Amino acid sequence: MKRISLHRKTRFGSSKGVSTVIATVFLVLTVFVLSTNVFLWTLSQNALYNQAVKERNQQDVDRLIENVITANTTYFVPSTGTVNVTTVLVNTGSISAQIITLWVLDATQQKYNVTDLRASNINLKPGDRRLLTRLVQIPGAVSANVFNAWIVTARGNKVDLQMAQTVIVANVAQGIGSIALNFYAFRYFRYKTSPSTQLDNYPSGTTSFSVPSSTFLAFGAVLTNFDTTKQTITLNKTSEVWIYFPQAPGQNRLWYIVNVDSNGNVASSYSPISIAYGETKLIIFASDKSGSFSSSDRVSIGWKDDSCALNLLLLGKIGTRDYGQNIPFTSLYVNP
Amino acid sequence: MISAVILTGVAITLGFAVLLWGQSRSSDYARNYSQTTDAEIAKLKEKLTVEYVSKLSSTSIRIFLLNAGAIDDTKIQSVYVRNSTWSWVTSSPPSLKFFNGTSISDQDLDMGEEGYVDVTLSVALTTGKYYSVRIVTVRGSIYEADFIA
Repeated sequence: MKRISLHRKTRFGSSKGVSTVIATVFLVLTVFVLSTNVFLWTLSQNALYNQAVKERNQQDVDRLIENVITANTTYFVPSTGTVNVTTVLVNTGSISAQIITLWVLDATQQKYNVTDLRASNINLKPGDRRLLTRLVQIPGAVSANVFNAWIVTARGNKVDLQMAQTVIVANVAQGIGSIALNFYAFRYFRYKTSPSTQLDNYPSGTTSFSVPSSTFLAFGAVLTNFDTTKQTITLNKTSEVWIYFPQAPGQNRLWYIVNVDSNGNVASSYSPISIAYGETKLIIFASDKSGSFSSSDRVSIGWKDDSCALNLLLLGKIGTRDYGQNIPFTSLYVNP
Repeated sequence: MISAVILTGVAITLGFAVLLWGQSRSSDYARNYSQTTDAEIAKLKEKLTVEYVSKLSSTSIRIFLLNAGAIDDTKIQSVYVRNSTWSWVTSSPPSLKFFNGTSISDQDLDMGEEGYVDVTLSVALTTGKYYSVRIVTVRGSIYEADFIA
């Protein structure tokens, strides 16, 4: 009897503790479930944030290693208020770059122009080189003004346009005048058979310092205006190329300046040619007569198997003042 | 026996109540955390480039901007103009316009979009002096650029 009573007490006593056990289990489960949820949620959010940080870092790295350089920038003012900007873009970085905007600032007037380049699709792969030329409008801009320009890439980098490296040549040329001759680009032209006033292989011609003797020739000189006062130079009809043979005094020839169209046709009359500051032009000398040209005005050297000196005698205006310059130093050999 | 059943029921009920309360609290926490994280992520993706600052007059400047970031809807909250001795801030968000002068309808810059803001100051800028502009976006990013008046 005592054993049965003890057994019942023990059973009843244990059933009374069930609520405590359940409450404890609930508490533990609640804490576990909630903390796990919060922990996992926090982890997922942190993962998202870390991913965003990685992406931002990657963008910053891309922005830093993007490296577009510019060279040989020239500002040419064909008419007041219009600026022709030319530059060479080179992507020297290891990632592609898109050029989206061109800024040109007339520092003299503190006026600017911004050009959207997106439509032009100026996309540069690593190593790509591209010539960029744009006509921009800046009211009142003249060639004597100081210009600055920069481009903006899609990543937000700004790149200043670097002026032509040939400014060193300009410094040298300043000692002998405002116009510089590119010796490496000096060329001569033969004429086509028909029409006989059309230059053959224009504008490339033949880049050489050895020329034929008995063929009608024209000469092409690549000239750049490096005038330190940044004024436009206009060449009049008396500008010419003159050659003479030191070994044969009296043997000389001359070719007057002419106008040539894009197909190489030499115009019958001459209109003054202007070279703006910083501009480079191929100037053709072809005629025996000053200011006019016909097939009978073509010139051949005649003398042969001899070396001669070639001079450019340039005359015209620089701004509103008269200008004259003699560019010597080119030597030719006339083939036998 | 009955008391044990009642206690158990109470324990279960209270347990569920605590679970629901805890769930509610953790949901609030998660929502707040999520909003904070999203805002920080959006801020990280933002990137404005000041292309040029132009002085329009002695008391106004034009700031040309490019959204070079990886997120749309970049809004300008305020613009600070300052130098070493004073600072000035816009009283309301400045109006955004495209480079061609037309107003941007949603008043924000999407990815790759360019626009400008005109800022009229209450004090005159001194010609030739060095100034700094600070652009603050609605997301809280700050971008700075310098210019000479």
